[in-house]
Amino acid sequence: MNPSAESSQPAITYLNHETSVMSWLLTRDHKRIGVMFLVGVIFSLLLGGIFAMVLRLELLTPGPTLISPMTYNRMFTLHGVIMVWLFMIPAIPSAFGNFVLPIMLGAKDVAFPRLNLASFYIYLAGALLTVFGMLWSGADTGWTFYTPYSTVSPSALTPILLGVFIIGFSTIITGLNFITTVHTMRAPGMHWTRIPLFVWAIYGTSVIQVVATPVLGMVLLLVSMERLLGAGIFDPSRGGDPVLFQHMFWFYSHPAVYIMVLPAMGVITEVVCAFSRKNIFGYRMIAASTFGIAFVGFFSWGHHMFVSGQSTFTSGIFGVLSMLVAIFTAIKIFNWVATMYGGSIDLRVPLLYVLGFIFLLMFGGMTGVAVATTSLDVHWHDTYFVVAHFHYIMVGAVLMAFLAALHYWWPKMFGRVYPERWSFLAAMTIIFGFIVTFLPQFLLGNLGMPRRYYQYPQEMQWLHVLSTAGASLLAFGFGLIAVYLLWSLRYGPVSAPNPWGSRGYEWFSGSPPAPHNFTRAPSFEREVHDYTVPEAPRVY
Amino acid sequence: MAEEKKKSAWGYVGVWAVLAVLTVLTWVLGTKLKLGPMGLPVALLIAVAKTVLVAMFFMHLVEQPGARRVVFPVSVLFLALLMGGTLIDAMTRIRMARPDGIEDELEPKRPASTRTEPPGSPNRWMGN
Repeated sequence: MNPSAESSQPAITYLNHETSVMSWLLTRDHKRIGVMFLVGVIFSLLLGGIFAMVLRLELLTPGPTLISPMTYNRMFTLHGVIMVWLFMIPAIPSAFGNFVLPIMLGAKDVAFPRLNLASFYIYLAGALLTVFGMLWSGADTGWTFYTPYSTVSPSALTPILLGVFIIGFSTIITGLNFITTVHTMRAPGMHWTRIPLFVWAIYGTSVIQVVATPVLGMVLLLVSMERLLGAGIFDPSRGGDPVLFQHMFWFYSHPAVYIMVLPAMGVITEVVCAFSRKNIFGYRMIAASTFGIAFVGFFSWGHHMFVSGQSTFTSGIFGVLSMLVAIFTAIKIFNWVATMYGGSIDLRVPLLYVLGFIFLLMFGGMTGVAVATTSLDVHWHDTYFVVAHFHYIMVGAVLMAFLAALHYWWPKMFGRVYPERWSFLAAMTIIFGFIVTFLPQFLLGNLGMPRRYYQYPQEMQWLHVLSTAGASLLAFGFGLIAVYLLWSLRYGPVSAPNPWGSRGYEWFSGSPPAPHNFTRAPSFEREVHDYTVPEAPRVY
Repeated sequence: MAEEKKKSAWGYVGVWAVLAVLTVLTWVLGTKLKLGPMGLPVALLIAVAKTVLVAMFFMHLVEQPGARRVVFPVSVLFLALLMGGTLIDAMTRIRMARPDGIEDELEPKRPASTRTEPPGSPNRWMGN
């Protein structure tokens, strides 16, 4: 077969075959829906980031700086709600998963394209209701909505609770769609052992989404009933139990950490292989550890409740079970490093984010084992130590992987390349800025600085100033990315079909892909990321 | 089109009989045999068993191929995990010390049978 003919780009792509606004709004193309989700989550990241920046500026001085205490309470709640529910949970599965998962499997689309579009609009409806609640009067409970305060808070919490409840349906539908797609839409030759590890990661995530999200929906609805009807389920004076809320909330929200992190790990696996020019070390172990994390993640929710009044016996069990997660995570980290070892490393921007991811995940993971130890957690509970820990492991990991995916698949999605030097500068700024923002918070927490406090003692100021300086670097880095990616969309040089020389299956389609991904049936006769066989770029 | 194979109804009658026995068992355990703190978990266990039977046989899940058959047992497993973890906590909490007679003062309308057993009670499992 003629390689040059195979590598030719499709003239009609998913971007130019229909260009009207309605063709986007009513599209059933998984790629367009992925792009719409991408726009949605980037807007949420911007909104959540602005709230974070206001918080950091307020904490520049020990006393009042910019905003009132009540506004501060609302700001950290809105920051958490937006970042968790509107950005981190849908960021990778709904945006990049939607775009590349069917292409990786050699499919024309997902199993239920209409449901896929519905999922986007449900997300949008939930997001709008949540933002409406914020504009109405905000909420001051923190993103965890803990009872009993959330049942009596005077702020407009109910629309926010219902907004998050609605977003949950989007998550469930997307998960169901991906599970069905993996089972039923694989092209001939796509055996279970050839499925890319990003797809395995999304599959594992989808299982968690389908199983756990209904519990979140239930508990949010119960809090709404408590607020609107005085149901009394969490009210001790009426035979209820506020700790029951925490059980149900964390039964979802702890696995939700893996809804965020597992897709991130999938991205990292793809990028590590592509830029090390090697197939993954330990394919089966990586796939199995994905399900190990997904499974064990369900047995560890009680480690959020060590000081809630939960029994010592239960805390001990949950503490031990929580540490098991570290084993499966370590398997992945060892395998990524082993893949890079002896590889032909090409240090491009996506790989830079991967290195940032591995550092943050290691650091955050090790502090995770520390906070899973009951006696230590009692000291650190509700302090900045925990804030720093979960920002390292959850936010750092998701952000790094999100940016790695954005830079790795940008040419695939839009057929343009971005300026390498500027992107390198932005990546270094963001990784450095992230460390400077959150490393001081470990020290603050260990000194006893409680989270969500408006004021603090004078001697802690230098650490807060350092943290704010890091946040400013982060803001600068994100601003830079926004500028060069928007520039690239219009003026960036046109990309080659496979600019990275990757052997990932998604590069078998054009960049950008044709409306139905392939112009003829793709053929998967080698393992994914097999760099040992000579192969010219090919586009089906 | 292949003609659908006609199945005997006796299997459904058998499942119905088991459901009826389990219903009677719930009533007997709830009214005749006092199980104390085990009453609620046992009643829930029987309810779950009945639900599984209904879904597997009357909703024909048992006849489904492959992954579809796994969905329901997995859901039951996770529900059991949620309830199990929560109940273990509730049953092993250390009860805070309270002066004698404060219960009636705090919760005069709540039936005594629904209150947590005091420390040292033989009905409490752990945490005393």
